[in-house]
Amino acid sequence: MTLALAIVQIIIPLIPKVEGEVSSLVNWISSIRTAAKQTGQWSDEMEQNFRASVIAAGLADPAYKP
Amino acid sequence: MNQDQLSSLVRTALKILGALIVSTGLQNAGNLDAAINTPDVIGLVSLIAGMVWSHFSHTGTPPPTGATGGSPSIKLPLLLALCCAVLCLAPGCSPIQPGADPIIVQTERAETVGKASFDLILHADNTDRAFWETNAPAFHEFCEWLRQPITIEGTNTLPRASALILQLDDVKLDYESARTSSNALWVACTTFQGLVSQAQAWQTVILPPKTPDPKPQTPLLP
Repeated sequence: MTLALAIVQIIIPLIPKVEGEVSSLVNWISSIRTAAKQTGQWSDEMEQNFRASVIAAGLADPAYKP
Repeated sequence: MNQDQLSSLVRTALKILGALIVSTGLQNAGNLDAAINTPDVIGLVSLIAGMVWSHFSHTGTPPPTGATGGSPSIKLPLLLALCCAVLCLAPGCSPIQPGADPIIVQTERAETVGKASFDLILHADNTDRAFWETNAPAFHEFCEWLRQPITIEGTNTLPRASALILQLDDVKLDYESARTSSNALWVACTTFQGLVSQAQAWQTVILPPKTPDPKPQTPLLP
């Protein structure tokens, strides 16, 4: 029991550090699935949403800042 | 239920908790057709398969006569592993609808995967840029190259990662409106896919744990 508590105390502070990379990895896997499931061309709305998300990431995401 | 099975149940409960934390808000089934193909359903089936596997894969309880315990059967785990592989991989591939232009669909797929790939490596590099600059300078340099501001469409300035996606999308829109040839779109798409492949190759560098082994390396032979 003491060992389990010690392990939990080690793991919990690590969760926020890996959370960002894990969510990006999950998003990447999800995008692979989305691309593989795409059967037709994008609608105009999907086109606009995609372009808006690309521009928003480029302008606002700190990871894209030099 | 022996101690192995009890421990297996506890481990399974922890796995369920972890999977819920990771997958919350990832994707929700909108309808029945989509539900069959969503990660939620596949994850649930895989989870049940894993529970069944864990339940049957244990050392046998020693009989009172002192005879040796039974060994776990190999057929059931093998069958479950094959089922999991089929469930995880098979439903993901979809054919292109009749009437849809394959080169446009291929370009849109490349844009989707490209954006997520750039997101992944740029966020990974952004977690500790100084660390990556010291320990993986080529990877960090590639990320900085993706971050360089590029002017597109006259006045818009965006990081190269975003600009490349939008430039490919512009070529696609030109092709849709018959302002450029399929050859131009094909060249742009394959060039972009080459860059995405390079970004994905860096994932093999960044995905392993980046903390060094604290134990000193000692030679095996004296």
